[in-house]
This record gives sequence, structure tokens and C-alpha cells, in this order.
Amino acid sequence: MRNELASLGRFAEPSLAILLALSGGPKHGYAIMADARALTGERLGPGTLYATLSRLEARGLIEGLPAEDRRRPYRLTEAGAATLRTRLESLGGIVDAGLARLGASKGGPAANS
Amino acid sequence: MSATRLVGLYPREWRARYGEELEALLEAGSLGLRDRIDLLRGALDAHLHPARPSPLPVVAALTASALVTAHAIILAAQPVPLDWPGYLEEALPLVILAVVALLPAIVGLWLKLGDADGPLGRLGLVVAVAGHLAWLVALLAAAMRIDYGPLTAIAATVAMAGTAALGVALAGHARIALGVLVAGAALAGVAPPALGWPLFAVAWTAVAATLVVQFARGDAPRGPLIA
Repeated sequence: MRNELASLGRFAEPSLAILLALSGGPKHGYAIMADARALTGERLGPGTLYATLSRLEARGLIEGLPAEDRRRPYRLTEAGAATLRTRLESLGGIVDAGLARLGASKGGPAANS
Repeated sequence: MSATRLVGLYPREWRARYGEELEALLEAGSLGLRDRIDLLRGALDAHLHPARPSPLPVVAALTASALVTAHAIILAAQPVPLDWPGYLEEALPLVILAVVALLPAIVGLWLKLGDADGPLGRLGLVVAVAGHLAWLVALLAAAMRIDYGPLTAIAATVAMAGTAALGVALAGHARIALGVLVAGAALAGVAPPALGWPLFAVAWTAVAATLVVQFARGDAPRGPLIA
């Protein structure tokens, strides 16, 4: 589970952005792009978006719902939610440790020089 | 190029699954140059990762191993020294065809690394493909009696360096046997011809046999689509 996103290589970061976007509920491609950009600040290109969607779908992390007027919404599966949770907890640990170290240095790198 | 034409660059099977919704997405906004380049990359990715594993790399590896083996046998059986005037030119067609066949086999080996191919895998692919292409050009030039000098050896060495990097990357991705065989083939490729060609033939035959077995087991580069 921990390495599920790592195995996606260069698609790992777009995968995280898409899983994050879908954690708020089902979305179609355009809404995923908009939400991912709002959440991460990075714009997913349409080719990258669909290359990543197809990989996430093949791994059972997301699933397509019936298309609505040529637009197909996707939603997170249980496995996708668990993968996202694991990744976020891992990132949370890094953030906590980093902030704690910055706090301990009282003033950041300049204080150590 | 219009959105419809860009989507048309994707494989038919991919378009059947995602084409309509991708077209709808593209029609919803304006397409910039970055988007068009991204779509071209996406189409290339979809072709490289077909829904059903392609037998092409396996067939290419088998063809290359057969050609290289034939060349090695001719080399061993010939009664004159390797530098006999005109001998190498006569042997060139087999080598040229072998290098052509090695190119898709090399790409197939890289696909075994999956999405997490890593810097070494990507570097190996680029260097190996560039080296094989340069080697091919040098051999074709030699066949046309334009040149048969150090450029051929340099190109072949670059091709082998890239192949060796791919072998190391494969071994590092838990494909140890295949990686060792590929790296071994690369080492044989830079050995003196009398020893190198037979070893190159044996190593590539082993690589091809491994790819056949893996393909038969369903362990082949698969696409992201669920077939």
C-alpha cells in the first residue's frame, strides 16, 4: 500500500493530485484539473491527466461512473482512499518533523551560522 | 492541429475507452502549446503501453539473436582473417538487419521497468537507442563504401554503454537474471570480434528466450488500460 504511488514513477505526483481532487467527491476530467490546480498549484496537462487516470483506474484506486453528456465522472475507491490516507500521513510526518526542527533551531538556518 | 486530430493520435483501443471524454475536456477550454505537447506525450505513452502486451519486442529480440548467431557462425567458419579485404563488407547485411531488430528489443526491455524506470533506465534507453541508430548509420555508410573506420566502433560502444545501463537498471528493478544477461550482451559487444560476436549471440539468444518465457507467462509490458 505504501509503495502504490511510488510504483507510478513520474505519474506519482499527478496521481496524488487526482486522488486529492477526488477525495471531495466524484468529478469529471475538467473538474479534476481545476481542483488539482487549486489544491497543489500545479496544472495537469490533458495528456498527463488521462495517462494518470488510466493508471489509477487499472490499479483499482479510482473507478469511472456512467458518462454524463460525454463527460465521465470518476470517484475514489476504498483502496484509493486508503492509499491517499497512507500517503498523506507519511507527508504529515515529514511536515511535523520539519517544523519541529525549524522550531528547535529558533530562527532557522541563520541562527546556526 | 485540432483537438479531434490530437485525440486521433491515440491508439484505437485507448480512444474507445477515453477518447470521447478527452475530446469533451479539450473542447471545454482553449488549447495552448504546452497542452498540445502534453497530448503528444500522452499519445506516445498510450502507444508504448498498449492494453494488450505487444509481441513486437519479443519477436525483435528473437530476430536479432538469430541474425547475430548467423553472423557469429559465419565469422567462426570463415577461413580468412577478419581483416581480409572485402570480408567485412560481405558480412555487413546481417549486422545491419540485427541492429535494426535490436532497436525495438531495447525499447521492450526499457518498458519492463514500468513507470518507475528511474534516471538510469531513462538514460540507458536514450543512450542505447541513440547509439544503435548511430551504429546503424555507420554500418549503412560502410555498406555504401563511404567509411568503415573508428566511427562505427565508437557508435557501437555507445550503443553497448546504453544497453549496459539498461541491464543494470533491470537488475535493480528485481529483474536480476534478465538484467545480467542484457549487461552481459553489452560487455560482449565491446569485446574483440572473434570472441565478442559468439558471446553477443549467446547473450542475446538468452535474452530473447527469457523474453519469450516471460511473455508466455503474461509477464510483459502492460498498458494502463484494463483489457
